[in-house]
Amino acid sequence: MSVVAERLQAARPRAARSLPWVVAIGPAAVVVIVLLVVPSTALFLLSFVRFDPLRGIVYSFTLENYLAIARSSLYLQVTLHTLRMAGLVTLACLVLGYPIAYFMARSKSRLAALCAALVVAPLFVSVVIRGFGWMVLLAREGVVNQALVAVGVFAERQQFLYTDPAVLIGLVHILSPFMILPIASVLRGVEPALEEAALNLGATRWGVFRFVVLPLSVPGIMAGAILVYSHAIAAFVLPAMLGSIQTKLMATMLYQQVLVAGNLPFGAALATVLVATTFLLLALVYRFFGVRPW
Amino acid sequence: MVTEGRLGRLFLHAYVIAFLVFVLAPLVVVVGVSFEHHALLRFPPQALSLRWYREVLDSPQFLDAAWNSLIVAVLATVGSVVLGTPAAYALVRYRFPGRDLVATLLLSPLIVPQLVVGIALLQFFAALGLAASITTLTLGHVLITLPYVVRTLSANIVGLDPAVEEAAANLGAGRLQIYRLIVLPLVRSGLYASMVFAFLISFDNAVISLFLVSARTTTLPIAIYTYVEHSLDPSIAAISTLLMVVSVVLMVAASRLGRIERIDT
Amino acid sequence: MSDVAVEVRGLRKRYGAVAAVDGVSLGVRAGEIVSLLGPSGCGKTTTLRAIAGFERPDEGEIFIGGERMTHVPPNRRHVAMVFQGYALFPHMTVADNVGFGLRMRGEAAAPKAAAVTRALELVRLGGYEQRLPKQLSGGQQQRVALARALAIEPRVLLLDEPLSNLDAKLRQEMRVELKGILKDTRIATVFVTHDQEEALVLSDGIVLMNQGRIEQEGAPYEIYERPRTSFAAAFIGQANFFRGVVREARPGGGVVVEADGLRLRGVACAEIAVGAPAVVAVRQERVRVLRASGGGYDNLLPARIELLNYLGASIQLVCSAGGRTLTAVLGAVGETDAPRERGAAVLLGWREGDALVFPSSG
Repeated sequence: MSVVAERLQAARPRAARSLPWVVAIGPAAVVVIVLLVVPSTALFLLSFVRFDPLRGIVYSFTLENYLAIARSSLYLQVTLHTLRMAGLVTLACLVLGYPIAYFMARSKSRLAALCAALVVAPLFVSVVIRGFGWMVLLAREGVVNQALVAVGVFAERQQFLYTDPAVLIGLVHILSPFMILPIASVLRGVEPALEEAALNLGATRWGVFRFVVLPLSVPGIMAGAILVYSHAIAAFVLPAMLGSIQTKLMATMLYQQVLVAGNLPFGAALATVLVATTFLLLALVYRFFGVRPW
Repeated sequence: MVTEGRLGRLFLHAYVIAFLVFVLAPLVVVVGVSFEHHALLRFPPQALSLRWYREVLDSPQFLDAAWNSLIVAVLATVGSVVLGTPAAYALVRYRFPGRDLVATLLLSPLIVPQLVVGIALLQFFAALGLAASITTLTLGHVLITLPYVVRTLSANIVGLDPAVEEAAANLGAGRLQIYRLIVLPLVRSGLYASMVFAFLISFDNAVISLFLVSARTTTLPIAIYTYVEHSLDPSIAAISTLLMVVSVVLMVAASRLGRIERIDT
Repeated sequence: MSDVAVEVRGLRKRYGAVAAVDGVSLGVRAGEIVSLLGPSGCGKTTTLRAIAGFERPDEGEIFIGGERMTHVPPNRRHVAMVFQGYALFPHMTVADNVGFGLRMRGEAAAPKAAAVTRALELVRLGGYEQRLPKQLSGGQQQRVALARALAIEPRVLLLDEPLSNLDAKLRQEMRVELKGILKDTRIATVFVTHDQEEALVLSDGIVLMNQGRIEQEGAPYEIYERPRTSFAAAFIGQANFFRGVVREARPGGGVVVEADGLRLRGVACAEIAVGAPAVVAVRQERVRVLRASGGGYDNLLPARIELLNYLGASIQLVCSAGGRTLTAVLGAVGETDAPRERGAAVLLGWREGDALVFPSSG
């Protein structure tokens, strides 16, 4: 059962007389329907409409938008590139973030409290500021280059900015809290007595991790992976700031088609493909692991 | 910690510190660069001055954008709290068919990528003939802040002992009175926390706003973004630092006022 | 290899300024069941965890099977612990839980499965191999935890409040079962409890602890009948207490204590001098209830019945005597011909040997 449903069940709801709850929930539901469901549906429908560069939108049913996407090797490349980039980001967030989550969940030191605050804090700083910060850090004259040359890793300054690795680093920076927090939350629920019991029965420290901690943290890992992946696929602002014109991602293509080329139907098709991919992944994870990350 | 020996613990501490440095580095750099006198993005700054802060605070383009951001954030916060609080209460306390579905509906703006939401809203408002304005921006921001309010408050209300409300009903209170006199005061900390979250999310928002701004009506993050597109100088760092200070202050206020539930953007 | 399975010498453990364990020494032989009994905060759990290796002593030594284990990590001590909340691995079946220790020791599949079956049979859960912990009741979970510990054939078995999570009736049943299993396996066992009845029933020896130190140790009978301090007398069983000063001390151990105008005759349970402040403890089941005109006991006190508490197998009489409240326990079937109504005037009497006198601690 999802977290929402479990909590709802425990809260002892009353069988209702209808009016109060309609009034209570109605406005919020209407807002979401009007501002999300309706426009999204309209967008979806728009993807089946023809776009003429000369005349604009021509309201006749066509599949050519989707066919164009399917046939074009460029879009295939871009899609694969996006999926691969998102995968790398997710993996990096997991590997880099898991120890942090474990530390936050288990340690009672002041560093752990500080860690908890600092991991969350950047979420409240706008993504444009964080992107700008990385631009400064990774520039030719930036701190990273200075440090690497001083230490001797490179002989001369490297071009880090406007490359794929820069986008990777930036996305990991932004999205790691989404991996760390769910894992830490799950790990906190793993009672320390379980680790002690495993030790008591002769497990090595690595054995405790492998047989007890890791399996029990899988729901958190899945939740985190889904969050990171679905955000990484649709990432736009950060790749725009840190990536090159060559770094084609699905989000960038979308932006171009809609706001630059003005081809709304095609953009709608791309958007549908993007959302469909994300939902497909969510469904797969739910099917195989039974966890709903929301 | 059970599974760490002394050496392992040392490595873990060192790793955590390194990670925190990684997390803070871009922010620290932005603040540092803002004090550099010359038009160079130099860190650490060599010649210190407040020049760029003065320029930014004098610049009508940034001030207008900041003002817009503020208005939109306030309106969006009010909107999402007014809409979301009763909805959260109803979701937690009432059983009705389709409750799960409605819960998912109210949280759905979190699931759909902001990019797609932005495009959908753009063409929706265009089809309705609505130009980009404070209104359209507010509507978009209400949409994306609403799930946070609902989720934070649901968690808070779930933590309330239902027996307290039952006692009130037993003593004669009607549902609206229970809501006003019992529930709202008890979830006050959650209310404050969700108001601050909503405000910050709106104030900092970039992606949705990108699709809802125009040359005349823009928000601060978008103003920063467009500026960065064509020139890079410490004025960006200055305005960014000011924006960060606002965020940090509000964040500290939020953590004092309420528990921080699981956060997703 | 010595006969002493577990030995603790001079254990000291501090948390900040507080000494949780302040100089504890004890020994447990193979086949013995010893309980660490005491109120919360007395250091019993810390001592148990030190034996298991989860607490590092500030001072003192731990020996297991004659080998010095003080600094050996907990996964190499071959002592098995049953945790208070059972700590069953929720993501593993009962069989995997019980077999976990064997798996860590590299047992092959066949002998491991056989050992698991044996252990489960021992706790009467044969056939439950494929269940998950969340499908089991509290009592069943506790038995799986026990089976998991027994499966590795440890030298020492450590139990942390093994029955405290069970409801009253189940606790009583499990007590008997547990004792049977422990006696069958003949493993040296140390268990921690705050329930004195549990300690009395299960133990061969009780170590009574208070504020980090051992108050008294001995067989259950000894601790109950011959407590050496007023704390021991108060912690186990229900007693009536009088505070006073020793007026006479006779060579055979008899003393006379004057307490609030009463002259009480009792026996000294520890060294005590004339003129010293003292506490007299009389167990409520040793207080006889007589008719107001009765006699025949060394100590007699007129009293009035205030409350009758029917306990099923017995009746507790709460009486008042000169401003004091005293309790006496009678079997439900008439033992005396004394009146048994509220307000009745009675005589409370007890023998000199039933009044335990201790030096007062303050």
